[in-house]
Amino acid sequence: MKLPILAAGLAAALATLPAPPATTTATVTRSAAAVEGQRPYDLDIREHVFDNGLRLLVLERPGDPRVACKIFTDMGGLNETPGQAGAAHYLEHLMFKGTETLGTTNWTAEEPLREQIDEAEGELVAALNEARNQIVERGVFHDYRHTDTTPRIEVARERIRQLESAAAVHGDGGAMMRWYQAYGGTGLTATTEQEYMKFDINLPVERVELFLRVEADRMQNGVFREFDEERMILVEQRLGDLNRAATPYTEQMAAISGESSPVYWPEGHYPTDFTQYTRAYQRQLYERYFVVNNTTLVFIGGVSLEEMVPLVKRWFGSIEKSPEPPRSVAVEPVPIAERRLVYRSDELAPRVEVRHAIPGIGHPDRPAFDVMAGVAAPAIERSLAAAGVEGEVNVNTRVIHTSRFGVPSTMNFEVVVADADDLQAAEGALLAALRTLGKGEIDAEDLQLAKKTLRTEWYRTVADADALAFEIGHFQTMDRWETLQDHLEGRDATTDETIARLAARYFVPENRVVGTVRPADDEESRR
Amino acid sequence: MRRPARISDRDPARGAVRATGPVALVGAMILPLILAAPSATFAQQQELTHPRAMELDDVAWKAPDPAPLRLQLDNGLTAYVVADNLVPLVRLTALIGAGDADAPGGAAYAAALRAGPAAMRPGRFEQALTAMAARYDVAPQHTETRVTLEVPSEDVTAAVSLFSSLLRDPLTGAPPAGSGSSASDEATGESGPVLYEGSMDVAVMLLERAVYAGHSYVGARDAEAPTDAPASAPVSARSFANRFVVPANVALAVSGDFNPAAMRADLTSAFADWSGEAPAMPAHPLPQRAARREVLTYNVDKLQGWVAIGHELPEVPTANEAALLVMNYILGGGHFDTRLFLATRDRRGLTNDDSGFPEQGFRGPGLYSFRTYGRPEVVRLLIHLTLQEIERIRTEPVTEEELFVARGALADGDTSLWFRNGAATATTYAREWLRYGDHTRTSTWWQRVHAVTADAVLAAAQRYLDPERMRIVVLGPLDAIRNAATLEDEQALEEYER
Repeated sequence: MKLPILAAGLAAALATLPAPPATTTATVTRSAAAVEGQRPYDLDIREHVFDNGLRLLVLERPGDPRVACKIFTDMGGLNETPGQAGAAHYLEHLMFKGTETLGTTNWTAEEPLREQIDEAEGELVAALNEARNQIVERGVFHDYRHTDTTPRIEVARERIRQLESAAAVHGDGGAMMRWYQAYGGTGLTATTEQEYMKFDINLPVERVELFLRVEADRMQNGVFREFDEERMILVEQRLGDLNRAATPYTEQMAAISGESSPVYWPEGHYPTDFTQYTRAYQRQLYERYFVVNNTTLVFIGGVSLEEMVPLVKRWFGSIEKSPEPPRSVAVEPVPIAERRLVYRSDELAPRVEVRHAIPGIGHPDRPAFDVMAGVAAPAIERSLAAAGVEGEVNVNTRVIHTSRFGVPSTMNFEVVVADADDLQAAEGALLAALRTLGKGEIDAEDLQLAKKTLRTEWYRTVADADALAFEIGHFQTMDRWETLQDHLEGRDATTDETIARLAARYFVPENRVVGTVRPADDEESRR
Repeated sequence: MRRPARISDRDPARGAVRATGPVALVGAMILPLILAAPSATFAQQQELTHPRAMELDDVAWKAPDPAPLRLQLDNGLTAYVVADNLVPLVRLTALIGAGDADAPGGAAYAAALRAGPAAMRPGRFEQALTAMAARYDVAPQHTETRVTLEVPSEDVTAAVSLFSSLLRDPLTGAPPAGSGSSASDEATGESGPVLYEGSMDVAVMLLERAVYAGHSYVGARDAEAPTDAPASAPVSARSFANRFVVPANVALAVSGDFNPAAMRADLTSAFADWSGEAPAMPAHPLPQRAARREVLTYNVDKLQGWVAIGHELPEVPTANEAALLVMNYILGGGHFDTRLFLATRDRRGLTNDDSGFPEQGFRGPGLYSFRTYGRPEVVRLLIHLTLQEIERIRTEPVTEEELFVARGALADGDTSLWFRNGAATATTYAREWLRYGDHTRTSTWWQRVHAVTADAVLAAAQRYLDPERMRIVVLGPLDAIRNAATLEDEQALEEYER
C-alpha cells in the first residue's frame, strides 16, 4: 500500500495530534551543509602525500578531544588466488599476532625458532606437493575435518608443532591491542573485504602518536604467531556464517551473479582453502601489499594536517617506497543471458529475488542507484498490492555482504512471501514495477523521500567520526576519496529522468539473475 | 592537538634504530623488549620505542558540567538539553524509570510505545516516522524503559509534538512485539523447550530464565506471553502507564542541531502541563540462590554449540563498582587481551569469543554471565577453561601491568564513550539523574578507577563470582559435544555439575 509521505503526508499523519508548541524556534542552521559558500557535502578533507607515496587525509574538528584513526591498505579478497580464498582475511588476523617488539618477551630467543618454523613449513609444502595425488579431496566438500595425510606430511607437521610450542614460551598475546586500550583507545577493529583491509582505533587527542607507532610497526615487522590456532578462528567464523539459514542461498546467488571477479566469492571463504594457507604465502601477500605507497591514513578529530604531517613523517618517513603492488585484472564480461537459481529450503521463507549488474563506485551512474532503492521499494509494494500478493519487499545493492564496490556490483530486489504459491505472481509484480520505472512512471514523493532518507543517513555517518573516516578511506581504496563528495551530490541531483534512464538501461532480461527460494518438497519441486 | 606527545630520546632522522628507548624511563616489565637485539631485516631508521616509554601526555579532557544542561520543570520532569550542531539532526530520548518487571503491563506498555500515540489513527505513526526519515527505538528493560526518536532538524517541531503525545498517551492495546513463535522455531530441549534463533542471545535468555525462575524478572514477561496478551494487554498497559509514566519518573535527553534556549522553551511548552503523582517504586529482591552448580542442556542441530555460564549479580554499591569492572575487564572485558580470550582464542583457537558480562541491575539485582561458543568438539574445553580462569582470578592477584591497562581503558577510554557527542552526554546525565538524582558517579569515576588495587580486584572477584553455584547453559548438537574426543583436561558435560 502506498503511504502518503513528506510534507503533505507528514502533516496528514500528525493531524490528529495536539497542536505543536507555539514557541517552537529550536532549529538553527549552523550545520555544515548550510554554511554559505560551501558545497552541500563539503567535508574539508585535507590531503598530504609523502615522498614515499604514503597518503594522509585529515578532517579537522577543532576542540574535539578524540581522534578517529584509520589505516587503509589497498588489498583484500580481490588479490587472492583460487585455492587461497580468504587468505587476505586470514592475514588480517595474523597481523594482530604482534611484531618483533610487541607480542614477544624475548625476540632474541624467538627469532631463530621462527626461522626454523619457516624451514619446516617448506618441508611440509614439499611433502604435500609430493603426495598431491594421495591427499586430493575426493567427495568431501568444504569440511574442515578433511584429514588425508602421509607419514612425511605428519613428520613435518609434528616438527612445526614442536617449534611453535617452543616459540610460544616467548609469546605475549594481546600486545597489539593492549597499549591502545591502556591509553584510552576505543573501538579497535579490523576489517577485510574484497577491496581493502583496515585497522582502526579512536584515541584521546594527546595520544594519537601511539597509533603511528603501532601501525608503522604492524606494517613492517609482523610476526605470524599461533598460525594454526588462528586458522581455526576462521573456521569458527565460517561455521557462524553457515549456521544462518540464508547464507548458502545468498552465496549461491552471488556465485551466479558474476563470472570473473572474486567479488562474487563467498565472504566466509571455503574451509578447505583454510588448510592450504602457508606462512610463506601470507608473508608474500604481506610484503607485497603492506607498503607505504599502498596505504592511506585517515584522521578525524582534534588534530590538524599541519600537526599530523611531522608526526607521520617521524614514524613512516623512513620507510622506502616499494614497487607498486599488482592489481586484480579480472574484468567482468558483459552479461548476455538471464540466469536462474532455484534454492530449496524449509528454513528460509519463500522468496523471489531479481538482481541486475550495475556499475561500481566511481561510475557516474552509480549514485543514482542509491536513490533507485528508495524509489523502487514502494513501487514494488504497489505492484504487489495490485496483483493481490502479500509480501515483504527488500531492496539493496549488497554483493556478498557489503553494499559498495569500486568494481561491478548488483542491485537486488527481493519479495518474501508467506505462501510459496504466490512466487510466480510476486515475480511478475516485481518485474512489472521495474518496467514502470523504465517508462518514467516515478512517484515524485517517493523520489523526494528517497533523497531525504539518504541525506539523513549521511548526516548520521558524519556525526560519527569513526563511521565517516571509514567512508573516506573506503572510497579511497575503491576509487578516490574525492569521489565521495561527487557521489553524495550525485544522489541529490538524481531526477525522475535519471531513474527512468537507468531502469531502462540496466533492468533488462540479459542483465538479470533471478533467484527463487521454495520449500524443499512443494509441488513445483516434485515436478 | 593540545601538545605533541614526546617520543623517544633519539630522533629517527638522525639515525636512531629500533627498540632503543631509554632504559631509565622504562619499567622492569618491558626490559626484555629493550634488550631485544635489533634485526637487520627491516628499515634501519625505523624507531619503535615501546608504548609505555613514549611518555604520552595525560588526557586533558573533562566531562562537561551537567548543571547548565539540566532543565527542571515544576511538574518534576527533568531534561538534559545539549546542543550539537555538527549535523542537522535532533535526538529525543526518554528514560522511564520503570520496566517490564515492575508490574504487569510493562511489556504491553512497550508495545504501545511502538504503536504510536493514541491520538493517531493506526498506521499513521509509521507513516510519520517514514516521512521524517526518523529512527525510532523502544528498549524495555526490567526496571527501566528507553524510547528514542531521531529526526532531521527540519522536522524537530513535529518530532517534539509527536514525542510528547507518545509519552503521555500511547496507543495501548497493541500486542507485544517479537513475542510470537512458530513450530519451526522450536528445538527439543533436555532441560525444556527452547526457541532457537541461532545466536548467543538464546543461551543467555535461557540462563536468565534459570537464574531468575519464579522471580519478577522472568515472571512478568511470562505473564504477558502471546496467549495472554489480547485480553489483558490494554488494561495492564494503561494501568502501567498511569502508575509509572509520570513526569517525576522520566528523564529526557535532548540533543542536536538547535538553539538550546529555544529548545528548552519548546520542551517546557510541550511537557509543562503533564501531571502525575511520583510513584513508589518496587524493589526487586535477589533470586533464590542456587545451592550448587548445574548444567542445563538444549539440543539443536547446528554446526556450533553456545555456552552461557553465570549467576545473579547483586546490586553493586558505588564503592565496589570500579573494582568489579576492572576485574571483569581483565578477565573477560570483550577485547583481545583478556585472560579468557588469551586462554581460549589466542593460544588455542577454540572460539571467536569468550567474554564476561556483569550486567548491573537498578532497583534490583542483575546478571553476571560468561558467553562463548565453538565447534562441537571444543565446547567442553571452553567450559573447562572459562571456569578455570574464573577460579584463577578469585585466587591470584592480577599483575601491575593488567591493572595499568584496565585502569587506562576504563578511565580514559570508556568514559569518553559516555560523552562522545551531544546525544551520549545528554543520555548519560539523564540516566544518572533518573537513577540517583545527582552526578556523583560520573564525576568521581576517573578517581575511583585509578584507586583500584590488586587487592580490591581480588576481593571483587571473590564477592561477585562463585563458580561453584553457576548455571551452565549448553545449547547445540549435544551428541557431538558429548562424544567429542578429550583435548586436554576437560570432563564429561555433566561432570561440571556440583
